Amino acid sequence: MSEINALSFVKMFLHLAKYPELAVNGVLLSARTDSTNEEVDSSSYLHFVDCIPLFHGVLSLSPMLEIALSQIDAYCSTRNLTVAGYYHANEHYSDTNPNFTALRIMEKIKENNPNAVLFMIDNSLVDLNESDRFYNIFTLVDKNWKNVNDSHIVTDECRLVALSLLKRNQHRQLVDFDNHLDLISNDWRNPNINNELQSSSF
Amino acid sequence: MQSAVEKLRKYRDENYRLHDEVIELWENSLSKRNLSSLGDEKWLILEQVFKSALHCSQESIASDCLEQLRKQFKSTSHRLSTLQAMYYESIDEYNKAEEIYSILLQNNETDPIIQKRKICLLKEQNKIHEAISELNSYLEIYQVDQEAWSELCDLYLSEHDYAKAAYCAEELILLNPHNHLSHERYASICYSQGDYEKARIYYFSTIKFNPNNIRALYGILLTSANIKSRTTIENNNKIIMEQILQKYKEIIPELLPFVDKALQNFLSS
Repeated sequence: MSEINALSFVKMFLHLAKYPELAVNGVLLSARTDSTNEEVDSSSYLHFVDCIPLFHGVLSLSPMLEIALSQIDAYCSTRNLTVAGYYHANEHYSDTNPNFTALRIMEKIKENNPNAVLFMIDNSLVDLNESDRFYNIFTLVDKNWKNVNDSHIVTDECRLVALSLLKRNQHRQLVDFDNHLDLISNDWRNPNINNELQSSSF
Repeated sequence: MQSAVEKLRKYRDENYRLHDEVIELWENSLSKRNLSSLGDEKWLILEQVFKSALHCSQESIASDCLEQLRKQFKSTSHRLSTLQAMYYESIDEYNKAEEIYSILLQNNETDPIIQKRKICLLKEQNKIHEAISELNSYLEIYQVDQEAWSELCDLYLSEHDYAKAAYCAEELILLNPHNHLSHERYASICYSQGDYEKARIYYFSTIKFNPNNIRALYGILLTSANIKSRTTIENNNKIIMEQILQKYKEIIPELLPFVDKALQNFLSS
């Protein structure tokens, strides 16, 4: 079972909007529960409350991914969060297959959180015209992907807020980890997006 | 309207990639105006807005611009035909686009732009292996085309063929020996292959050309975490780590605690 809040949904969405012609990826953070993290727990509840956009363009190089994940881990431990999701959008419009990079990153995330899920972006749903979400959710079991869309909750607010911020060109303000590495004054936590959200409460 | 024209000129000259903004400027300031006062710049603007419209899937704006260009330039114009073919590409009419490119190539076999557009056609249809094959053939002739080597590198990386991507990255260094970005890219590919020694060498050469390349500074620490410990490495690490922390302290101190903790973890493991 999983649920996503407007902030995470919007950051993912704006990342896609900022780089429509490129592959993008990022991680999603959920509140850390007290239950043991050593085994996959099918009754666990993931509540995604934040999202850190990672890279755009080339996603298959490992050094900066290691840097990003280590800093995000440090960030998570101060906010009692954990990396529980990974989103991945392929460059090609109709390619919805998680590739080798997605597999490798998911396996790495699952080392710390066996309940982690993949948000595989479906580019054809991104206009949010007919759907409340632009991705399909998968769990990874022995290198096999299993669709778990039915147990994922997205509120109406998510879609409305995402489209509203896009209209206000907030995607141009979004910072991913690549932007941060280009210029470290770019804050990958995107505090300004949070503020935008507060000021557009429904 | 004047400021819109100036902005568009800047984006053209400096190769900015801000397609949605170009469309915005067009819709808000230019589309309903008479652009004849701009002289020849009018055609450059129409071409620019056309290309941005293709990027933003604004089909009607694209065909509107194309119509205006067609009225002005003969339909036999090479440049116009290329734009027409690009329009077909954007609406998934790949065969029509290919027809146009074949005709254009008949007239000029060696036109690099058309050859590259044919490779784009393959990429658009997700025929990555064919695109790689064609791009290799292209590069046998146009050996100094950096954009093409860069694209081939990215294609190999998307196929996770690090060895061939490394070869392309090496070509880019040969073409651009003082460019810190080409060194850093090569280093990152070597690291991804597991060749930490070579990665370290090239992260250092990146720093030589740009001491502020933070990816390279991080890369040096990462490689040392993967190489058996030697004293010279440990001493270098301290210096590099100090440099990184100093930059964060000066520029974005809010992130300093996370960077500090992350780096401590790397160096102690």
